[in-house]
Amino acid sequence: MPVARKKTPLKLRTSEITLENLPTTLIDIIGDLPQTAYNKELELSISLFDCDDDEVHPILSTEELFQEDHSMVYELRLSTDAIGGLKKKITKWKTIGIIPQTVLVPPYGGERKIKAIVRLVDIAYDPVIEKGQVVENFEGVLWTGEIDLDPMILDWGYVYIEKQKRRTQSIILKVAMAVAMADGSLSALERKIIKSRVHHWRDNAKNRCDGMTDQKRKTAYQGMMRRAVQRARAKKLNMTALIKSLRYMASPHEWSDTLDLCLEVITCNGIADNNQFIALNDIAHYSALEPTVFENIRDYLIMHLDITKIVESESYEFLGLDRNWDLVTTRKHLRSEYKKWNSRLNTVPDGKSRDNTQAILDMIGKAYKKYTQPNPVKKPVALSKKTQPIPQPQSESFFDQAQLKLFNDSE
Amino acid sequence: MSSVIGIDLGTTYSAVAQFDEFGRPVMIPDPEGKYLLPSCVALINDEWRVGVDAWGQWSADYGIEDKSSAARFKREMGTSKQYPIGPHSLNPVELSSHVLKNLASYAEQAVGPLAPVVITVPANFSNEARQATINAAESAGLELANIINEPTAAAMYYAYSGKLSQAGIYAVFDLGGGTFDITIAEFDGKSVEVIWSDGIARLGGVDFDEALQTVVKEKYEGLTGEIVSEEHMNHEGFDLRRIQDLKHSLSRREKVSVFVKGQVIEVTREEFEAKISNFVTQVYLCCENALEGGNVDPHRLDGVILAGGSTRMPIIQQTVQHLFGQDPLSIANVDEVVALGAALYAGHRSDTDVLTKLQQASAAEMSVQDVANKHFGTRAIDDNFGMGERRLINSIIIEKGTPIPCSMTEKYHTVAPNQTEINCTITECDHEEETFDPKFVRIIAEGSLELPPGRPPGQEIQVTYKYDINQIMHCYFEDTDSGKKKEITVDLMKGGPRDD
Repeated sequence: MPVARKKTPLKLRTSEITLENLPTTLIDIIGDLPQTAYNKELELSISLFDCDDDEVHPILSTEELFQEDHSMVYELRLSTDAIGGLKKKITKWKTIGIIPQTVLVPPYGGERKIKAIVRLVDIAYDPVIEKGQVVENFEGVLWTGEIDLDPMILDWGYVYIEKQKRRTQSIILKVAMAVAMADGSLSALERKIIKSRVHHWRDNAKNRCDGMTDQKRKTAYQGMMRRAVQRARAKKLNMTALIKSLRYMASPHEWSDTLDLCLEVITCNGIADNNQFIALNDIAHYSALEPTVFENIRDYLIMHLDITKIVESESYEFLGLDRNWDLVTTRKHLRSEYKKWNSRLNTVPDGKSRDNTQAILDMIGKAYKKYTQPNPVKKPVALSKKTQPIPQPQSESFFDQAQLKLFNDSE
Repeated sequence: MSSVIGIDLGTTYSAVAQFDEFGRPVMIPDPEGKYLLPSCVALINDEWRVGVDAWGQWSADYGIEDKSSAARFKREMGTSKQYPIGPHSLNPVELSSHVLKNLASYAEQAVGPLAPVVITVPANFSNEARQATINAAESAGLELANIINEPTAAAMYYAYSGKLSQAGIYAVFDLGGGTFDITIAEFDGKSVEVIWSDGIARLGGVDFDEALQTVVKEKYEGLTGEIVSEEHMNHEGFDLRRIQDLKHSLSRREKVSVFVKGQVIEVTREEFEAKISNFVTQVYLCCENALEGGNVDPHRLDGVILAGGSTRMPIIQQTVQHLFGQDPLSIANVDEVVALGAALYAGHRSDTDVLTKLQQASAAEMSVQDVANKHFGTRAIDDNFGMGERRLINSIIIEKGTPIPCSMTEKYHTVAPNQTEINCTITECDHEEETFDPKFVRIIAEGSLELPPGRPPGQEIQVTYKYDINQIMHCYFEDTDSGKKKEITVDLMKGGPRDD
């Protein structure tokens, strides 16, 4: 009788390397494949968990390549072909996983204890893995192994990050509320739009694993909305302070979220309100975003709102003028705006867009005459605190002198 | 031999001029001996009428619902606007066609069979409006040789006339009935090289008329306490024919009086000028932008020449004086210079076999170089936009203001592995739009270039636009590696791909 070879179960080990100057953990495997894996099309799945307390938390990844199909939870899926195939017996350590530490986000910051779960799966019964756990097609898992990773020191944690995100969202919400209230009231439609954005944030937070139960999350977002409405109604929202806070907290994506929500609020009734533009200008002033972003926003509003309701005396902010500019800069800006819209008059479609373009040209003409006079009339500003008269010109081009003369003669 | 003519199809008045047998531009009068034909169309006793009669009818129709006339339709060229006239509904192309037919008819009676004609359009006319003008000419049964920008035509006439004291850079300030154009051009003998053109599509005498009408109405209401409704604006002293006369008087006098329903209304020039100050400011803005666009210091200008009847207004002459630091040159009839220039251009562009020897000699002396009046580019992807983000951009290849003929090349690259096709898009815009926004950037032609498979991204694609003097732009998209090429030809007079 031939002697059967004693089978060596599959074993895992980790090693640390530096890849492209970044600390990276490798997972290697050795041993015999289980018999159930013979002649099957196989894949390896690696999931990571934080095991620092009694509960097991999934680890998130910032790279799509290392994410589950439907969430941000870390998973590395490899076909065995991608690692040169797996024979029945692996006699030398073979690298099956690569974990760049920089993409990992644990639930909490600091030094964490992380465990890797490696699964050998039969893709004919492709097991569904969600947040690191198999939830369907259990029979597809042919072997499971686990190994502790060396402690890794990582900044922040996603639970903390989510908390910070909710704080930022709370300010975004108040900014939108302040923009909505800038025309004096919070309409049902404006409230609906803001509420719908809050629901969207809540659903996204759920997908991102924020460490909260559904009920807790719901309560948190409801509270956020309630507080914002209360403060808006009590007229206790200070736009400048809110924007200044956002400046230190918001990521580019969150700025984009803020502007998008404000635009939705401003455009929901189809009529442009100058106080809402003052609010928008405050955002432009304090956000440190590129001026072109706001120029594009203004252009969008000009195309989508009924701007004929903006009375002459209110056109200052609407035209993107800054009260801190001197006379020469103000003229230059208005000339450039005129050039832009006069050129676009030939391209914009008939109807509202063309009427609005014509209206903005008339408005620029009036503003050029009015705001570039030596002693402009001061205009009260609702939300902005940076109201200052336009300083007298420091230097004037020939055009500016000629224009001044013309105004003096014709007025 | 057929006669060479040029037509100034204006908002308020139109005119026709001939390139006569001596090679001179001369106005052609209508049967009543007038050079200016009101651009009005009316249905009077079931007969289509154009000109003075129609103008009278239009004035009577003002403010009432059932109209039997139409005017000022040039402003709506290229739009879908309809004008109800009696039981009919006419679009601006059909109305313009009536005007062109009338002009051609009396021109033919006066000078005989017509050679292909030249028609003028405002420099700032949109592509749709240019195309509509071409359609109107076709509909009128006219063979069109070319269209020319109004200020360029005026410049040609001034160059031909020899009335400019010296060669140099001049501004052509053209404020007509419906549009304003400013062109900066270099004159040398009978040669004109356009440096920059700009304009305002909806600003002209008709706006001034309406402003003056409002002044009269407001003063009447203030005096009598009676509110004048829109439907009473036609007969009761507010009609636009009278208002236009009043405007002309105000160009000569400081104040004028008008009788309205037994009341004497006095209007001062100052009141009128205050009412139109926003329009004047816009003219100002446009001129400043043109000088900036052409990179011309107003002090470097050798003169300012005028075209269009509205330049007779004192406020406009003062504006020119303030803006350019010099008085405009009064050396020609501003109502006629555009038609005369169009006749010269028609002669200049005619085949020599239709010209007499004297005409040939005159035409050979002239030359005109225009500039691209729009930005032409292609739709591309900007893959350097932030971290891995991509956005659609409008990449400009020929900039507005580039002297034509010209040829420009830009290099691009493929973005996907195994990319087997690229979209070849030709865009145009009036403002230097960087982002591809279909509201502000128009696609005038497109096609596709097939590429060899199996290549990595980053394959160089060369795009060349060649813009010739016949307003034809040949666009080539070439894959440098394989030599594969796609050519798209655009007829810029029509603003679209060439039919063949």
